[in-house]
Amino acid sequence: MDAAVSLGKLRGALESQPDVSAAVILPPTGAGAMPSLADLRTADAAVLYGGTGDLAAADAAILREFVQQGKGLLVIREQTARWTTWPEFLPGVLGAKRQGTFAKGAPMRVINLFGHAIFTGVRYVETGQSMPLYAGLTPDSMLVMEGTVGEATAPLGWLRQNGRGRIAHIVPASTELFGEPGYMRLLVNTLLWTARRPIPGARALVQRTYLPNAYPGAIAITFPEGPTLCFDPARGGVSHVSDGDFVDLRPRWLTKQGEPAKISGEQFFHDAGRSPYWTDAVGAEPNFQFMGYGVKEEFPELHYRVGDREVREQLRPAASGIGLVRELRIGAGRQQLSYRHEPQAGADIVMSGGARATDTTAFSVGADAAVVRMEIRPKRVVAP
Amino acid sequence: MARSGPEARAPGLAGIFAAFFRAVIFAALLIGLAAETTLAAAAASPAAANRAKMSGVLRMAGTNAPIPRAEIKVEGPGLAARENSQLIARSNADGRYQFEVPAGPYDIWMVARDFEELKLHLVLRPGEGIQRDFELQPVVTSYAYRVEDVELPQQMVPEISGVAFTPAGSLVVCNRRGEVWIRAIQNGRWRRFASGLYEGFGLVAPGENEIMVLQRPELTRLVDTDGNGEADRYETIADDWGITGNYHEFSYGLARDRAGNFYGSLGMASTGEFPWVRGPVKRALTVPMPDGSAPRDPHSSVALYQGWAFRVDRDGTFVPLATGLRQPLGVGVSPQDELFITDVSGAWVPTSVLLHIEPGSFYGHPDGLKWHPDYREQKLAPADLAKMRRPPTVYLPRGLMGTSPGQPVWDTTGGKFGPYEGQMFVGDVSSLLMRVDLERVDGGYQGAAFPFIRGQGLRLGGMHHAFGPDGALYVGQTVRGWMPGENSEGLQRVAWTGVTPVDIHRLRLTRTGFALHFTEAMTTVAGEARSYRMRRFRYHYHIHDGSLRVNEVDVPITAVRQVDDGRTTEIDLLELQSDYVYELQLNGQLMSAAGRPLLNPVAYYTANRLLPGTVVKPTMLMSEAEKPLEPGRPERGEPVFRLYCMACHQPDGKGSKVVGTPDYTAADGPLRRPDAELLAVIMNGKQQMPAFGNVLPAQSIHDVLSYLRKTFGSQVESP
Repeated sequence: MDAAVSLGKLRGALESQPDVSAAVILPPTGAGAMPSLADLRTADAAVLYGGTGDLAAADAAILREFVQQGKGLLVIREQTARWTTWPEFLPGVLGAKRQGTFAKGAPMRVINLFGHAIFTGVRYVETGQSMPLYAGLTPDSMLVMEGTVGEATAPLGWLRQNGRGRIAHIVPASTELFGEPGYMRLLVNTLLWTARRPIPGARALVQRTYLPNAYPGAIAITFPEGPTLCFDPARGGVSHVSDGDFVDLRPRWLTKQGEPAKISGEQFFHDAGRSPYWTDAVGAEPNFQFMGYGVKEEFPELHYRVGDREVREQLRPAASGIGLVRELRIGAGRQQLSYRHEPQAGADIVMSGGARATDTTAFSVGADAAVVRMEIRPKRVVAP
Repeated sequence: MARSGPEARAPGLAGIFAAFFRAVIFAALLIGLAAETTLAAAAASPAAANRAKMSGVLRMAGTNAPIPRAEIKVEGPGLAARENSQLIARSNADGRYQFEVPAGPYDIWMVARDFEELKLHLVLRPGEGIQRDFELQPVVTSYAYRVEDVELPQQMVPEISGVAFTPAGSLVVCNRRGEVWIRAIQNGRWRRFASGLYEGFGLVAPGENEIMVLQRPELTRLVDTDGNGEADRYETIADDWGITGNYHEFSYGLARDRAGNFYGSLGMASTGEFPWVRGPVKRALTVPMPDGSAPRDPHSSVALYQGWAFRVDRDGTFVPLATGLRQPLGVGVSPQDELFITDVSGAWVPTSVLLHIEPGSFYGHPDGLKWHPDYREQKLAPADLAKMRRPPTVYLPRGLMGTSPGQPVWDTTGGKFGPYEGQMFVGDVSSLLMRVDLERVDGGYQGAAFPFIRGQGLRLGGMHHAFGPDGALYVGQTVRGWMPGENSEGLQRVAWTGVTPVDIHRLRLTRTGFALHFTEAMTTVAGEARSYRMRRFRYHYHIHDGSLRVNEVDVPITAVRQVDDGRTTEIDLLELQSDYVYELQLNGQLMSAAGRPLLNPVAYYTANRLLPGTVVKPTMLMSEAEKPLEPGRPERGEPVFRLYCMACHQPDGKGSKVVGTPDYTAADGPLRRPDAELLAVIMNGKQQMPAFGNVLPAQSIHDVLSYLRKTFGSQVESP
């Protein structure tokens, strides 16, 4: 009965999302196979919750097809070990292995939520339920939720890009949680993420840390649907842009040596070496002074000075969602200012404002104040 | 702050004979009583022959309950290859402990939260296995102060790395996950004010909508401009120092003076690769090891101003103030706008210290000098550094006075925290809160440090503190990356119960000894000489990782007078010498006249200077190590060789290719080199051979060299 109540609440939450049609794969009411998954073919995303029965061969084929089509799949507290027709579902689709019970079944003490859009509006997740222990998460899994008992930790929520599709696994699923608004919000947000729908209220995350291929103290800015960029205040510019939506800071926290953070997704823009700003043709590197950042119209805005020019740079995701828009408001100064970058094999850079001299000079502006807009897109994206 | 370090070297292999040797106790190393030992069966294999084991159970005195997760700290020259010459074992859930070390003499501390520390000195013989159970006494719970947890929001990772209060009284904390949280004074509710910072380590709260935080790359001003309770502007105030991304290089702070200037300090980087460094890079050490090898404590100033204290003026100007710092964890500004910083023991820092920072000064670790305009090109010798170095204001002797001291804060509660108005409090990464009472002597600060709260539920990791408007001392705690510690992170408050603690309120130097000003009138027992014991010792200032106590000796008490209606006891000593740490131990049974017990029976006074007019005579006290060196004697050197050297150099002196030790008997072996060269190798170490200069008396080193020459050098041509 408890599972039915939980499912009822889950259905209600899903039905409140008009933008996505989700099929809920129900647990069996008795012994035997799960109900037919024929309805799955028309859904944008699926929620697999619990279930103790085996998966019929026909249903395994439907589910396999569903996943391969690149549709979203949210798994809540997987119980797929009994599936004889798809035994590799857990390692192959969810990307993990089951290793018994975490902390010998001790109740969960702390659940840490890491920075991701699925936690928009979610203050915390708390449960006294004992948890299964998963290990061997694939390298492409993004661990977003972690439980702690004493000094032991266990993954409790992770996201995975599965070809064109998105997979998510949320482990905590006690009946009490289904009565918590925050938990239900988490499930809905996660489902929206798997279905590539915007998450209401999600904002960009700004994290100052140690990033790969950047000076320490670089800034990672992650938009809810990607991309993620690295702005390097020491170098003085955007150093790389990836199409992912998550920065894993655990290497900084959980290793003695404090490894760089990991950025998800594929990098499509990379610029290195000296600052991209030039004030003359000879190439003297202008003085770059980082002055901070803030939020303007819900988007991050960086503030810095290049030579005698004050710059406020607002960053936004491109309308296509896979690209970065940089709007630079450049104050007046004595010298002209140019922005140059390395040739980009993986990105197109589209400018408006300023004079684009060559394909490696994004813009040049004179001594007057100017507004320049730079859009960086991966080459594979077709602009609207 | 514990650091990673090289592992203890393995004993020698086949060819080592299990043997039983008579223990020889060296006076310079004898600190406690030699404990009883139980002789067990000899080691089962040659490989274990030169090692010894000890195990047993720790129990609570009076109840027999096992004590889990106690620390058994073992320190001695046999562990010279390890950080601080120390190994730390832990008791398990049943209170059972065990450890194995090379044979030799050791100081062993049994330490558990809420229990009195037990210290003993043992000589562990080769092949020995000792079974010994211990009972620990619960710490006397202070009747004057209680320790309470402060509830934090569930979603906050409680690695608290900064504590402050706004002028209105809201509590502000930062954690090492890059967040700043505020508990509003109006309603007691927590909200997250900022996130995404790079390991904030100290903050100041000028207002409800404005917080200053020192994160690794910069000093940042967080501002909530739209009043929604969350910062929307992160302004860079100063970022004029270098950073490497190394895990151990922290930016420590934060303190502010009355003029609105901010103060912080920069720790050194630990060993590692530095592929990306903000700012200039200088990898070469200012003062390299004598043989060119890598120092055992590899903290160095790779990036700009690491190892420096700094000020950021109100207009954002960065001013480097002083150097010679290693890991200057605690930064505090007194009510008189004077800067004090604590530094953690390691290379060039013999034990943890409190420093009064004066601009332009040098405090010991030389590597930061590479950024000083006057010294960056100079080659400095240790003797030069010793002349330049300002001595510590207060030494915090390792052991009872913690390991990694935190932020100094001053009691300005107007009496809400008890009778210590104006005095300084310093936390530590261990479960310890210390009190420091300073005085000015002959133009400089010096004074006494007291353990204030030990155990009593105080967590580990308490390095950031602030007094609250309620008069309590709030202690922020974090241990991640330095030591394991379940439940060792969070926030606690230490509150006064209203009962006056019976304690030494002030310890003052006189021209003949010390004056102990108690918080209350004491019974007449406090006027008796038998209630006190005074010792003095020094530390070596050298390149090695910390220093054992040296020149340690009892200082006879010649007279004791109780004055001021029993509130003050004056102690006269046989002699007073400067440049010593004086350890005062009081009879733990001392009581106030009102019948309350003394809370803290120990004090450490750092006497850098004496009062003008003090009569200083040539000392009549001499510790074993201060006697003039005699020619080396092989018969004294033999036990030294067997305890400290044989494991690697083999009983026959032929060395081991596996271990990497040379053949002393070879005609072209090391013994053909002159004494001075060989003595330097033993003192300073060479390549993988550890240094023994800070663990063995100089006479012992001479003796063992003479033993080597006599026993193994017959085939070697004399140098």
